[in-house]
Amino acid sequence: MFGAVTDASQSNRPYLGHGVGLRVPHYPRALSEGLDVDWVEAITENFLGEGGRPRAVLEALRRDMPVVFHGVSLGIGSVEPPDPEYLIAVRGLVDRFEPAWVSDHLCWGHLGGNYAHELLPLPYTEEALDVVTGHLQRVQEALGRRMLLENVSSYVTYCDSQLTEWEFLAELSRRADCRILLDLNNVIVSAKNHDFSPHEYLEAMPRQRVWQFHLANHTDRGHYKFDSHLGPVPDEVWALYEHALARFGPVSTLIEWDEEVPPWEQLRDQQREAVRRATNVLGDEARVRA
Amino acid sequence: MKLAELQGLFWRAITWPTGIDDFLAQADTQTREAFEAAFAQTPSFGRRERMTVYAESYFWRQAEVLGEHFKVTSWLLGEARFHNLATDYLLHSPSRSPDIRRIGTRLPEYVRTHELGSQVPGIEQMAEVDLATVLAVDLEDGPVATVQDLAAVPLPSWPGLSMSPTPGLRLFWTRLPFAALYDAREKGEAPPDPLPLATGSDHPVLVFRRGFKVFHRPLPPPEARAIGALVEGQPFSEICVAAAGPDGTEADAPTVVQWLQRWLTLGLIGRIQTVD
Repeated sequence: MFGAVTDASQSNRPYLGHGVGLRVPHYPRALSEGLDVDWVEAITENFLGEGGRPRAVLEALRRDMPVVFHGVSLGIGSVEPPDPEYLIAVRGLVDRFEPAWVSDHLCWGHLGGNYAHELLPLPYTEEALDVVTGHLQRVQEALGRRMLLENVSSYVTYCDSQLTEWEFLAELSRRADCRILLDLNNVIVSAKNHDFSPHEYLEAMPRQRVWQFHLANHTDRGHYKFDSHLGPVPDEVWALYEHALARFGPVSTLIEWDEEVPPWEQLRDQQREAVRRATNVLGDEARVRA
Repeated sequence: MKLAELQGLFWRAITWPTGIDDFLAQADTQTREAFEAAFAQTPSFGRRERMTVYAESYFWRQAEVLGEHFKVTSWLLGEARFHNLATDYLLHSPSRSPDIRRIGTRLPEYVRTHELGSQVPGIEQMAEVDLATVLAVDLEDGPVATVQDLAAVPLPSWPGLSMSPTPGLRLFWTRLPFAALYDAREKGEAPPDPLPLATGSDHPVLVFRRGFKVFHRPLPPPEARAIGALVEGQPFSEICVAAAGPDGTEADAPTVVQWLQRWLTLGLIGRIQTVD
């Protein structure tokens, strides 16, 4: 088991700089020229196979830069615990590639052994908090490391919720001693859909537990926002990013673009824009130290 | 409401085949009341519409992945028919794996029982080859034998020579010409209308991965029988018997040796072993 994390260890937050989500259209470039960003985030489930091009790409990138694993199927909030075989497979990846960290989502996604492949929202209740805390402690033990959990975009809330999402996430991070992946686009999407203030959300996050930011685009559907990951990061998300940098300091930042994935140069431009904005806010602190 | 009940209600609502409104229309009073008591809403964004976001995403996302995986099957059936098939399949066989790339593992089996299986004879075999193609992509990288390895085998050892295929190599005998259909799709052609008539399992097609790419190669029946014997682990002598066919005249041993060299060049053989 892990011991209690002290304030000192919480403040020892690694900083990777600015990366991008690794997507299939960029595999050829990764194998030929490499990817000229600070780090990449790989979708865990895409690398569970034991060979072929996905593994070769990851091995090539790992030689050059830090890699992070980001899962989409853990379903930490499902009533049933995470699949032990899945955890063994992820542990194998972790041991093989030594990622800077492993993350997944604060949501549920499986029931009765069936998987929705969706990031389904949780009720923010004491019961849910107990369930997620228990599962997360077991997962962290299985993986031999602390995890990061990401806030998801949501379209539904529950009448029975006793806490706000930010209160739930902050409390969970304390109880389970996990880190937080703060998706700023998701904060904006959910803020619109559930009528809360993105700034209030950020203010409630425990500073030193926030280890990563996600930046992405969403689609405005009029009376609600939809988390589409299609297109460049919008101004609203950039503005919240600058606000978050001022509050949290240098936090490893990642650009996500999943639909109609653009040419590498366009994605890299987004990463460069994140660097530029971070430098404006943080000065030299935004640089990655070799 | 307990978390387990909430998740059960959520799941039943979003996986209802005809949407949230119909789920509620078909539900009993208790379920409708539980739905209203569980999910919050605002004046401009009602709970039914909120839940519909998840319900639509559940089916569309997985159907889209199935379409990407079952390239020839979906191309032959067309978008609407394949989407209906995918939806029926997801209702019958919800995903059992955390890995979405594995959601189609039971689709070929399901197609056999689906009405499309009888409407489009041979379509279930197209699904089998599509699935083999997807599964080959990230299989473990294994050793690949070379022509030099074969040349090093002493002549007296040849009858007992056995070979193992590289990971992902699969042989199918299909009623529709998979490889030709795959190529036509890759060229952007429209699917044949009407579909080629499926008369029997007379189109052998080999699926194999070389490096990072998965290939489909149509084979003449004698060579396909020989590869089939190799996949079964038969020694060289039995591979020759299989190639020769029922009347023993379709292919002789020197022809099989030529094929062996080609198989090695294509990277189809992982290991060569001799039994002393």
